[in-house]
Amino acid sequence: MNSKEQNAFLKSWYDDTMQSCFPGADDLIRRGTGFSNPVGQAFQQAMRIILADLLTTRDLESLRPSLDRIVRILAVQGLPAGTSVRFLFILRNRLESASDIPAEEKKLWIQRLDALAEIAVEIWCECRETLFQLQINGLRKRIQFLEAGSTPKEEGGIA
Amino acid sequence: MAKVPKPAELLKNVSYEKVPDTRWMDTPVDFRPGTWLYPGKAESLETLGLPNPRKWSPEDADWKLPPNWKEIILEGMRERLDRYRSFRVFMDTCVRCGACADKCHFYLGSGDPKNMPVLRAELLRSVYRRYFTKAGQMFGKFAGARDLTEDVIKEWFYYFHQCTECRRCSVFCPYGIDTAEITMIGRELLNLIGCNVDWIVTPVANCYMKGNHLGIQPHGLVDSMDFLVENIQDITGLKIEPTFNRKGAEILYVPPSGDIFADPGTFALMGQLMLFHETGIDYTLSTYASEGGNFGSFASMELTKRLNAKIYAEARRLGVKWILGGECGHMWRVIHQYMDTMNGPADFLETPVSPVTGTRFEHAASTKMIHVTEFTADLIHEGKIKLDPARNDGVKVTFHDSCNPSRAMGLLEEPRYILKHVCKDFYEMPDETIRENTFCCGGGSGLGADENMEMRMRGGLPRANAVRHVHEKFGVNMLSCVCAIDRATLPPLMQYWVPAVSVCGVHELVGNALIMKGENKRTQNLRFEPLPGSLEAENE
Repeated sequence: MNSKEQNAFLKSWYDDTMQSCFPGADDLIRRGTGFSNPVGQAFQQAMRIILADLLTTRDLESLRPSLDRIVRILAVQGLPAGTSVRFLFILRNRLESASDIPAEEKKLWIQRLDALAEIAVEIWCECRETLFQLQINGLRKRIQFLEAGSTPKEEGGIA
Repeated sequence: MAKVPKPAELLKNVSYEKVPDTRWMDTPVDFRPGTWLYPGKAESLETLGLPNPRKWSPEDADWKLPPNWKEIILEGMRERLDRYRSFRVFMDTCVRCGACADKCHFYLGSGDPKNMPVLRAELLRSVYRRYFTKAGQMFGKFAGARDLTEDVIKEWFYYFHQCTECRRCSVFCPYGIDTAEITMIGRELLNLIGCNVDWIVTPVANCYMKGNHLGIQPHGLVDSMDFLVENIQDITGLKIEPTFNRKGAEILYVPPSGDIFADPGTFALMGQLMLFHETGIDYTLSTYASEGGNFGSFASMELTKRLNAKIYAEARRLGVKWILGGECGHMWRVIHQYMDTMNGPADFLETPVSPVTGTRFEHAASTKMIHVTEFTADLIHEGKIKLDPARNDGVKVTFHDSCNPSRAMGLLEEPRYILKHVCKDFYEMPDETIRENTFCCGGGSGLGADENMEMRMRGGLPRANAVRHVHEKFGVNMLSCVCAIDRATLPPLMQYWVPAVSVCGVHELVGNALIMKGENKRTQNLRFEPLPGSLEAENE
């Protein structure tokens, strides 16, 4: 895929992903740049890296940071795991239906995307675990505080 | 002459395929888990004398509203339109230019169109038009008006508690509409029918009855302070003796209670206590007004006034000359924008004058209260304290402008001035994310609960994204701030988005760097971690 084709792929991949994950907000979110649009910034940067490196990299794990940037955002959008990794399958479908990519290359793309999807699910699970852990930490703090407030000073509390 | 695009050029980018299936008015709210807040406990409402205490949940179909709820809301709106000219102006003025649309951190982090400030305000405006304007009464939806229904109340509850009242949108509004005040009125109206949030109303009840949001009684407060004093003694060898309720002290010091009980706020408070000891100022704390913050401001003006009044009542009772506020955020919006008309003028107090430098803080001539960073920046400027920034070596710090001190009181330079004197490595985040343009922590204005953690992570994304940038570019590992809510909400935010970055108060770094008369050679910072260059650090 040459750079022109890659850019066209990137644009349609990004548009479809935004439409899928942020319905009703896609145009506005796309409009902003940089720090005033962290979602768009993260998706565009990460997708560009994934698309550019997917075929050339020897170690798919090197794409984990880019995947992480996208999945970490999607993991806090109240979306199920499937929807949170759908962006990879959007790309997969586009590649499958592309008529100008040689069959061998297409096969390689798809194999690698499937492997990438496994990593994306792992990341999603880690994000959700972190999120619940943060909630538990907050609850623990509250309980510790309540316990200290109802325990006499002689017993180590502050009551 | 400027080239103006032709209609056809503009329209070619409009896709009618992407128009939502239903209009926003006809799209009822979906209470998604991780997004909404638990309702106020009945006993807290009873403590405060608020209407309609009951057990309910936003997920229930029946919210157990009072039978005449509609009448109450409309009468409440009428009263507020008469009382606050600003409210009427904000209801009438918006031209829906969209300048605010992509400025809200919740919109940027979630993409939910109803989190655009313009649309969030429209939730209330549509009802205003229907019942208070001729056009709305005559033309209904064509004039942007809609009937007040229970679904509208549910929508208000959901979205007015997804606004942190940070006022970033108001910075960009060409008309100066303060959308935070629209949210505040929206929440006030909800309070009239008993639709409030526990994370707000219970701290308010605690503060009303016991003097602080956490509900700690006076002896518990003193014990907690003793614990911090012991820690300071362990680190410096110096015994600090803060006093409580001491009549005749020159200054009443009011920190946010979160800093007395929870890390990392405790470290910031220790730094302040060390500074006061070193400069020998004559101050006291109050156990009656042991809370600088004001969660009342997240519910209604009436509750704001009640909590704020305690500070001034205590200043009068103790006979102090002026008030020194701690590293707090929303305390300062109340002090600078509402206090004087609510509980002022505080003419029984004096314009604050630093007893160390003699600087007269004229800007506080009305409120008689200054922020501790103003006090400390003045001490540094006048060369009254000795600092060793090397003790903070290894700390690469950036500064998060807390929404209220920055946008409500213009406190932009003082914290930076301090940081540059106590640390060698200070880095700013990108311009569009700091100072007046600062992004909220995502948990202010009563949204810092645990049940809405997903929403907090969405709302905090723009801030975290800027922190991530300076972390990757400069190796920043510390996010400093001057707000107790930030110190509670930013740590989980960082743990999720940028785990290598910790959070601290500005005065924690002051406490580390402060050279105190008679102190032992310091080997640990205020977190009991080895100081750079110490034997312990070398052993590690």
